[in-house]
Amino acid sequence: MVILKIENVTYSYKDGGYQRVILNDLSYEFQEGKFYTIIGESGSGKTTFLSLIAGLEKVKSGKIYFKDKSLDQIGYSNYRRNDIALVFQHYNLINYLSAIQNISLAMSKTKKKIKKQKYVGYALLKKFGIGKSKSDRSVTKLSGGEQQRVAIARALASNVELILADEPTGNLDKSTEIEIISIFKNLALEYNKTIIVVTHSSDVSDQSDIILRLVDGKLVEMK
Amino acid sequence: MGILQRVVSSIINKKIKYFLLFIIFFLLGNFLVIGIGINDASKMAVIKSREMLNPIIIFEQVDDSPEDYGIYYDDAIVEIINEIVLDERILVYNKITGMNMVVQNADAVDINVVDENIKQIENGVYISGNNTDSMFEIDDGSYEVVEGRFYTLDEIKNSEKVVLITNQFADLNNLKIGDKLQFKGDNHDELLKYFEDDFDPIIEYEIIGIFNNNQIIENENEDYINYNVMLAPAKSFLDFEDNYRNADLQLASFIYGWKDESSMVKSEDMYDAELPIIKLKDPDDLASFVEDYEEMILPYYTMNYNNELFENYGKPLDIITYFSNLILIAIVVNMILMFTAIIFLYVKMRDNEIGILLSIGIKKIEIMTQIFLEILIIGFLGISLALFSGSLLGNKFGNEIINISVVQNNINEYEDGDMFYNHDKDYFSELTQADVFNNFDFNITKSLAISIYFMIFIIVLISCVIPSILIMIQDPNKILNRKE
Ligand SMILES: Nc1ncnc2c1ncn2[C@@H]1O[C@H](COP(=O)(O)OP(=O)(O)OP(=O)(O)O)[C@@H](O)[C@H]1O
Ligand SMILES: [Mg+2]
Repeated sequence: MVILKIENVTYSYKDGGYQRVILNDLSYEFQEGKFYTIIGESGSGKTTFLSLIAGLEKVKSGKIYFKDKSLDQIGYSNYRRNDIALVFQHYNLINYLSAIQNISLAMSKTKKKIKKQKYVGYALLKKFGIGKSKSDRSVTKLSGGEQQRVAIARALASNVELILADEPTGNLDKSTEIEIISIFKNLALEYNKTIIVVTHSSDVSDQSDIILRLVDGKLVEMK
Repeated sequence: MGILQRVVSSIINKKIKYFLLFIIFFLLGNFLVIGIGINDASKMAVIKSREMLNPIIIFEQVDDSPEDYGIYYDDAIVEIINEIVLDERILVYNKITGMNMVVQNADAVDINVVDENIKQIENGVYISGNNTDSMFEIDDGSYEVVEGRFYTLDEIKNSEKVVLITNQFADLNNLKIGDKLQFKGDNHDELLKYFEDDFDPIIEYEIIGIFNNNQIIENENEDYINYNVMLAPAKSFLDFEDNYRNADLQLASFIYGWKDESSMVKSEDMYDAELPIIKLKDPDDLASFVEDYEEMILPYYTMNYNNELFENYGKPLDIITYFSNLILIAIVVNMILMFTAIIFLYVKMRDNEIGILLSIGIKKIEIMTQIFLEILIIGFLGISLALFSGSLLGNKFGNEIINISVVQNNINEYEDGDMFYNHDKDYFSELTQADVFNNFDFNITKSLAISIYFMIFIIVLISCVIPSILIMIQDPNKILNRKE
């Protein structure tokens, strides 16, 4: 089943005097429950593409559909709140909250109300190797790998079907990268989540179901 | 997780930044507290001084009014004045007429008369009548009804013969409410000599109240008046009085050959043309009250409400109020500009956090609310401390300010000996510059504190407007490219 449909999306930045086209009439359909990775040269437009499908930016030409509804119909802020979760390279947790508070903040925002938020939150964190005492700690006092796990737990906690990540392992060492990737892989397998990860690491892309390369403003399936 | 929890966590996390903001709120808050305190103290001093200055209005004849006793002949003015006394803003008015009488079926209180030249008429009493259901003396407590009641508007309208007596008079004669008293005029016996048995008007009153006369007695010789004074509706004895005046007139025509009886004005008409002394409920109404009516009576009369005296003594306070208003506006404008800049910076520094919150779908309005609440809490904490220190500083300041504000006053005090001295002015209370200044009391009251908190609320709210625009136009997309 198609969860995300990109239809003739063109995107360009104004660069000095002229328009520089980043995405060029791009169309693609993402299937539910699959683990995708997007690779491509630096500056090819991977982050730009992700920000469009994350509803962080509006498409100027073309359409994006989430389960047959265009993002315009859903509303961008609603879409971000209820339908997707983002994981960033820089973890991007709210630094004045504890790990568990970061998680419950995300939970309280979704339409699908979650009962026993705290209990579920601790359980999730534990699943990703963050124990009770670390969960109650301010996130700034966690290691990079731990913070990224909290970020993924937060993505999962918001109980959405589509998880997007931009170089989530970019700041982590190899062994941690492998752990994080296996978590993503699991999410797709066990929870039937659709995962789209932008990465430079072949270790990451090798683990995914489908590898897409962004080249000349278009997505090309590699695997 | 609730917004308040986030607010508190955020404040604790940004301890140092928020401590600086707290200090700024505290420092500026002191100015605000002192400014508001001084402003309020001077406004209150004006009000308190006005209150000390009884809100009394008297009528004064215009020097070159059309006719000397014009009012007697101008029914229109009489009517206007009778209208004026019905105004809702009036607390009480005195339009007193009195008559010396002799009580028939009781004894007047006899007091040692120190001065041999003064002779008390045997059983002489004085009936004082007003035209409304109270009088100044009742209002200010110098007459205190201890038993029964004062006469009512209905009784005034029907000129009913009801009377209040002093408790000394009641005790002496063993009188109680409901008892009857009979009176004659104090020249009755003389008139009787000429009219023989033909002249014998008697008036009978029912006692409806007993009062204590607390008036300060300045002259012992007048004690008997104070104990033998009685209160009754003004018009209840005017016809009776006319009997005596008619008899007097007849006697005069008999003795001196006067014939023109028609020249006699009825007591009631004379009374109607009397000028009331008015006391308002609220001193603030004085100016507007006078403005409402003075035009109508102007060819003959003006209204005096002791405004010259007040305006002179109150001038320093007006100056203080004026300047403290200016300073307050300056402080508030400065606070708003300063906090706008600070909050703008804070929001800018929190770009990343705002981006994350937006990326997980938190609404912009909620983010704005969070920042607003954070600033507001710090603002309230800062101002709370400033309320203490500001009060202390203000107390010192306030007195200094009032001392340097003393201006030379050139009031023309009215002299008692003045030929044209209007005794109605005795009702004006006295007020000195010192009284006015003593009323200046720097004091941060509860309601003042509440309004200061409210001001901080408004200042923070306004200061958040421009920074909010920054949030409104924040592009959540940036978050993906931002490096920490
Ligand atoms: N706001 C912007 N204004 C103008 N040009 C931009 C803007 N954001 C990105 N670009 C340009 O668009 C191109 C694509 O940027 P993007 O961040 O999507 O690349 P990327 O594939 O994610 O690269 P990397 O692998 O280095 O993260 C780059 O050349 C970049 O300079
Ligand atoms: Mg990128």
